[in-house]
Amino acid sequence: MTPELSSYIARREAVLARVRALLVERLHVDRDPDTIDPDTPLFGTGLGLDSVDAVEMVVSLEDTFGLKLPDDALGRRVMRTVGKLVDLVLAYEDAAAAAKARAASATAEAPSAGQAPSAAASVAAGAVIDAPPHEIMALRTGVVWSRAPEVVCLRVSGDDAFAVLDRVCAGDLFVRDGQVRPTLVLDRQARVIADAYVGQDDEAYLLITEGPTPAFLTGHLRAEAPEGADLAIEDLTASHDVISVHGPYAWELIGELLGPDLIGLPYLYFYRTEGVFCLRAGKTGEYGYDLLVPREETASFVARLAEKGSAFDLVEVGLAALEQSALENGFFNVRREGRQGLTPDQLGLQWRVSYRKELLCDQALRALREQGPRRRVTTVLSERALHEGDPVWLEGEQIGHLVSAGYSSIAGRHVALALLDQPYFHAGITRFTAGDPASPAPIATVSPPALVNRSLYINPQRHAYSTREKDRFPPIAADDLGPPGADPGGVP
Amino acid sequence: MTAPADPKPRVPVAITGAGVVSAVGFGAPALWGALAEGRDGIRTIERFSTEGFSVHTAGMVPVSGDLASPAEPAKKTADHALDFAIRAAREAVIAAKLRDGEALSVPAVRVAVVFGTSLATHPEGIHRLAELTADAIGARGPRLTISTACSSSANAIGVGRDLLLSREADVVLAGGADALTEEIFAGFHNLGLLTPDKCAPFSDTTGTTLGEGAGFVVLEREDGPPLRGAGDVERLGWVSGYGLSCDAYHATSPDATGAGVARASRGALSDAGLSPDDIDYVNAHGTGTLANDPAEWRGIVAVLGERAAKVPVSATKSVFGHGQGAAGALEMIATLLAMRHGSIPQTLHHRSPRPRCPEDPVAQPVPRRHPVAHALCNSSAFGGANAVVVIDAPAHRAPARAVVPRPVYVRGAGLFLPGIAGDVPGTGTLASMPVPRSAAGLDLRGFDPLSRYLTFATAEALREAGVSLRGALRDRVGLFAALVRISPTSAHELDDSVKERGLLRLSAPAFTRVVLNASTGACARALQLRGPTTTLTTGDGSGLFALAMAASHLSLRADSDALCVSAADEIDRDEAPSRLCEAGACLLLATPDLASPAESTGSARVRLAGAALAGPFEREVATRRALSEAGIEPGDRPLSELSQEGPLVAAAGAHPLIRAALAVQAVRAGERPFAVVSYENRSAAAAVVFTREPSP
Repeated sequence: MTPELSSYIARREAVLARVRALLVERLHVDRDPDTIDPDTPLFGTGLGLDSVDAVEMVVSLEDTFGLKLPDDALGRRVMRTVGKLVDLVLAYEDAAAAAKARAASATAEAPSAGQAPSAAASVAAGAVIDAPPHEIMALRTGVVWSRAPEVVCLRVSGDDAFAVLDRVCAGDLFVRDGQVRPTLVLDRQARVIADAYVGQDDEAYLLITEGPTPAFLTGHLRAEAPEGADLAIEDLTASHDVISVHGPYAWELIGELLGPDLIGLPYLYFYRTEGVFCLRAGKTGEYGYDLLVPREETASFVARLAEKGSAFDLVEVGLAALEQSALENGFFNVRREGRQGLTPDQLGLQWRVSYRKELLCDQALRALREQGPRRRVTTVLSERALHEGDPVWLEGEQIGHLVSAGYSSIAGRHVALALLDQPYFHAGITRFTAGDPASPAPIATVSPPALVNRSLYINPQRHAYSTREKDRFPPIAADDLGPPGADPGGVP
Repeated sequence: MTAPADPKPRVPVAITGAGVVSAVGFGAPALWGALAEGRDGIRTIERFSTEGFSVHTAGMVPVSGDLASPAEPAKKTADHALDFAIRAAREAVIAAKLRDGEALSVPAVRVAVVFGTSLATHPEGIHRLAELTADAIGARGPRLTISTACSSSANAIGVGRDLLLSREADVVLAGGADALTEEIFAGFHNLGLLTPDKCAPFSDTTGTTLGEGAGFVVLEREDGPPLRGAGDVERLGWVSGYGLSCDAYHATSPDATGAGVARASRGALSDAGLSPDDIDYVNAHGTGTLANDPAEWRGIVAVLGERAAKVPVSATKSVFGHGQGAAGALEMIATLLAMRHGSIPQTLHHRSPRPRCPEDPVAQPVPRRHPVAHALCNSSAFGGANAVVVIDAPAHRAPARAVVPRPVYVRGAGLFLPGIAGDVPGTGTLASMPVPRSAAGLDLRGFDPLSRYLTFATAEALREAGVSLRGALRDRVGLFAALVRISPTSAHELDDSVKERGLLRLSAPAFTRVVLNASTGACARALQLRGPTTTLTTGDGSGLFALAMAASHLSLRADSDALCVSAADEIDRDEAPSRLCEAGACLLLATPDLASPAESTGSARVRLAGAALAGPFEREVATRRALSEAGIEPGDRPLSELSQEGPLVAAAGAHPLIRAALAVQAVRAGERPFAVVSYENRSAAAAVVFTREPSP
């Protein structure tokens, strides 16, 4: 490792430590700093921050790091994950240092050129998410819908329902009626089995998952329930279809379909209306809704969706478009990186784990925490094609491999998730390569989300699909650089 | 067994006087004059510097020698609010012809004051404003202070009506006052809630304009004291109902579905015996912010249904700004004045309609000719506190109805006493009570210690009662909180942020926690208590006053089946060491209508059989009335032998609730047939009586 790289990593870790301290001390985040992974979302239920905290966050960043957030648009772009805050701080430090250097001498350093795209053909390798660009474009600018057979919804009831769910799900189940919490189901080695939401619905609980089959999940719950437990499990997906709707204007179509109360539905809340269960969730970085429709009504519902959707140029998309969106926005995908036997710390998902409660995999979790992070996933971008399984290299040494890969037609870049060894698992590095050692593709590590999403700037109280042409928004683009005007955060 | 209670007449409550201090001047006539001419009172702020802010205007009360003591720029804020209050209170009392020379023309002990204010920083506690205002008009009945931020005075008017219906008073002066401070201005500014233009609710420009002032009304029962100089007291209208609710959603953002506003409105309509089709006009809370206006409109549509499209909905904040704790009273008085002139108030400055806002916002420069028989007046606040008042035009008085009081039982108690070492003499087994296990599943991030203590005690009372708040039951359980001050931790956090960073960069999260009802809202949110919710403060011993209020609220109304009566105290670690201790206490009161769970059979149950309020230091009066309500004849024994009073542990606000919890224990265990707990201070006196009944 070059001295530049090791000093960059040290700098990044130091800033990360200060950002974590700021979150705990100034914003009262109730977690141990070491369990706040760089990819942790700040809002929603990631760290549980809200719009009032966002105001304090701006002031705290300014106080702690002496930087200045010029406008709200940048604020929205930056205040998404812990890693994005670190990017911002480093970019400002770099800009300040560069300005100082320019003042001191006339020989300004050229910024990192970024490696020129090579014409070398990609080696035959593992899987790539292959999403049609027109589907992605519709998802990122309008409204799309998808049948979501991969989602499983169990209704768990009985006196012991909460106790069993609390034992099986890794996070603190601070559930309230009408709201879900993102969590994980882990095995005894603390490996992820399912990506899950848990919610309370009147007298029962809902477990909404991706990953295992309903039969497996039901068996898992029953196996963990004590003898004679009062537990009833109903697979709602046996009688219902899941239809998901996504896009910066999805809220508007949902409002027209299911009534205006749905327009203001906050992230991770659900609502039941006209026989349809509607959860605002989504893993695309845009407004997203999962609808549970009774199977006998699916055909008529889809017809109504298409009818109302015509005003929104509604497009049906496949799983690949949703998976690509999840990848470029930093959402966990249990069918890609999630089937590699990884643990929450490796997946950057410790925010979904409680270290205070009794879990089946306590021992494994404790051991992992004691040994400290050995490997962790990091989002990477490249001008050249990347594939799942590609090795990642630094100066001829393998330092990790790709666990998921795709192509971002919006960013015009290939995007992947790399599982990197300690201490390389940081954003802002452009020295790594991936793929065929004979002709590896240069890659850049970035903090997710890798896109500036349109939904960041859309407010249901203000905007409408029909007026989108005259509403002004920042462009939808890759978000792998620091703020405008600052030097890129990467090391040469 | 107690015999079924006799029906009690629900007598109409008249508004016989009004007094106003606002940005458009002094006196109710000035307010009507501004409305009629389409003039607003939004002007450049001179009382403090707005340098560096992007907004420089507010609905400031004009500087004038007309005030009892002039509002000099250098005066303390509490004094401004008090000046406003006394000025408006005197006007209301004079308008109601209650003055007889210097004295009141009705017995002073039967005149209560219910004061709504958001201002949380009076050095001796905000309840002092109510006491000083009552002193200024010579009222010697109970003086209660309601502090639910921006819904304070609407809530206070409702509580005033309760005092009349439960016959704790014959005349009530109710309303509120607040002055604009630089901290409040900076806090709203930092949260991005202010508009640099003039507040234009439901219009395409968003943001609110802050204001200040005082609004008070005189309320009396139709069968109240003989009217002075018979026949010449004008009735401005009737307060025929009110409703309270909590969003239980977020510290500052409204529930976007408007469900909280809708719950309070339904409570108010049912209290008034009216249906949605009776409503001719809605005076909206209408702050003009991006979040409030569409949420409130959703709430109005949810209640009025198809009628919502036909009913004009306007917001008077466009005229005098957002009067904070005084807003509800000021806006209700504006509505009354317009109604008297056969019109409804306009929404000023409205340019073009915003999506998802009222169909008819009365967007015009002057009031609209429009007869109104019944109007809804909405108020909403930080902490998710909603209060809706129904007012009727003089000629549209709702008929008197008979209400059968529901019996009230104590179904659970929760105590949080972190610092008690060993047994306290005379109490049996009052030991240190740690954080209850029932609090384990709660997300308390961002809760200050005061909010935690309130939540711990309330969670424990619900657990003891076996009540699990899910589904529709949440709407039927409310929270009456008693607090003597805001959390010292949050107060310091805000002060420190101002000292270290300046007003422009004050801590937004800390700012949202320095209204008294922030802890109430946090507790309601954590436990999903969405029914009637309020925050009361009467200084030392506030908890018992809340208990007495809650008992009559629950007994005489139909919009809830259970109320958590909770109090909490947090020590200021910067204060000189004192004998004060930290505490949280909650009694869960419920009627037999509480659906869940079935009461366990076999053990005795404890009834709250009597509750009474009386004037300052009138403990004996309160005790006699509470005993009489409970059907207990005290005989020749001195009351001091019957009633427990005074602090048992040195928790400023919670101590009488802690005593009440122990009294309930003793009565349930059969150690005594009944127990009386009473307390008195400069604000009021309260007494409650617990009796034992065999299980049903």
